Amino acid sequence: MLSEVTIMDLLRVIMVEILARLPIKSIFRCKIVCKSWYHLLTSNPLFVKNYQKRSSSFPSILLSVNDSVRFIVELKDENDSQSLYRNIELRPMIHLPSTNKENLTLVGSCNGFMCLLNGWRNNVDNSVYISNHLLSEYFKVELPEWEKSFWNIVYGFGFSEASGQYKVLRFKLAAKNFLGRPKASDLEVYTLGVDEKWRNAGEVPEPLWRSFNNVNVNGAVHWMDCEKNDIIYSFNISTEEVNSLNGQSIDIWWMKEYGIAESWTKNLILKDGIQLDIRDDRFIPILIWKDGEILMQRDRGTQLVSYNPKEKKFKKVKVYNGFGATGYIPSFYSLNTVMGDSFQVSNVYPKTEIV
Amino acid sequence: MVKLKSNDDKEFEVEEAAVIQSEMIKNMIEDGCATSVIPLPNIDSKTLIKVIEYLNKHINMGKAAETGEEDDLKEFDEQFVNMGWEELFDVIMAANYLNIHELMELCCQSAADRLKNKSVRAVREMLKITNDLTEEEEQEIINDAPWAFEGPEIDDTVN
Repeated sequence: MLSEVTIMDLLRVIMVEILARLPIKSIFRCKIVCKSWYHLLTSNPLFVKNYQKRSSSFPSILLSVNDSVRFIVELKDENDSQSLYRNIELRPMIHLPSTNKENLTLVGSCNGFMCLLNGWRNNVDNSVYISNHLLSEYFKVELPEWEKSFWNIVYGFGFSEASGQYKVLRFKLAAKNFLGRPKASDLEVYTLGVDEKWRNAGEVPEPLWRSFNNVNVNGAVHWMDCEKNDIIYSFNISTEEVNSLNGQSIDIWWMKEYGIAESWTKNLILKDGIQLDIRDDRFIPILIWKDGEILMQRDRGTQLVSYNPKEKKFKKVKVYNGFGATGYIPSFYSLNTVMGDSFQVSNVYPKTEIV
Repeated sequence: MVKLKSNDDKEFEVEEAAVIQSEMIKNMIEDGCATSVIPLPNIDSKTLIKVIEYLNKHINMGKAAETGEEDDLKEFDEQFVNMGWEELFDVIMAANYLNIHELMELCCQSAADRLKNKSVRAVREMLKITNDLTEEEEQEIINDAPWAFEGPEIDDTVN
């Protein structure tokens, strides 16, 4: 009883619980405090479970210009002020070797790993990368040979907690039929750290707008039917089964996409409650943070706003105007832990730098 | 009333409405295992007094929003975590053992707030951690992310 209690006496779970609440820069510094913390912060799976939690205290977002991902920004909540200021920013801009950074689109991000597509979707020489930008690591996914009969390709990226696997999906939209629309698409799957090649997972209904909009929830990637708007399909990352959900759950699924809980449906924002000057804009929720405020992107990224459901008020958020924003959970976990020893993870030089 | 006994044999009476914020004790009561005194072999009386103080204050937390006591509660929480590291770790361990989610959140956040933006030296000193990395190992980690070790916000003070 007389012996002094130190942080080292805490269970690892509790230590992780504390360290996971630190800003990105602090976490990197804590790596050299001692060996035990180094392992906790770089390779302990416990840490991954806390990533989601971080997003409420230190939400991070990816900013993109014209659909090309450029910066990771960690938001800082300034208690007194109406606005948020940038806390950290990745510099140089997100880049990968031998790619045209003007055209690096985000396929999706899970637990800090980003899946990025370089080049136009229907271009012959496009490439897919998985990266952890905080650690300057990337892995280039080899694409199957180009097939001319397919007029478009759509990518998806998902994670399954059940199997602990990350998978890249590739929908090959078949050539148009005589009515001018493709009927279905072939789905190919690539499991990170497991597959040498893409595997065919069968035919699935074509996604609306030829996009998944990063709808990655509960270990499944979701997409809407291209013709019937009230059907949503889900691809279970772990079992690789395709299911359809009926339209009544659309609201909930759309919200869940951004990590927003079911309570959202009870919290409908009435148009009358929106300040006049921004009432007619389109809002896209990004994430929930500080006491349930909803961070939203306004009008195709010209501005971020934070909506407080209690006060029913919008506040403009000062980040950068003119950027598109997506929620992002930083990872301190090396890509090597996902890819294993049989795949070569490379480093970006110069290394990513945060200022 | 529920009776709790600390590991230094002191007994405390707590209202059931307060004590059921502990998932562990709530389960014991539901299972009918809380008829007499509940012994808490991991918690000393000093820490238990702190925990009970918290439980009593947060007894009607669900109603705080209606009665406008939210600010009051916030102020209490701020004062509550104003304690030394050792005491904080004791409360954290007690909250973990008793499974009091809100208290755990509060204390872990307070610990994180104190470590936020601190220099490596300050963190080691505040938490009395002995550095067991070699100079080479340390340098290698710094070289991987030199930006993390510089910047005007880094605070080298120990408090």
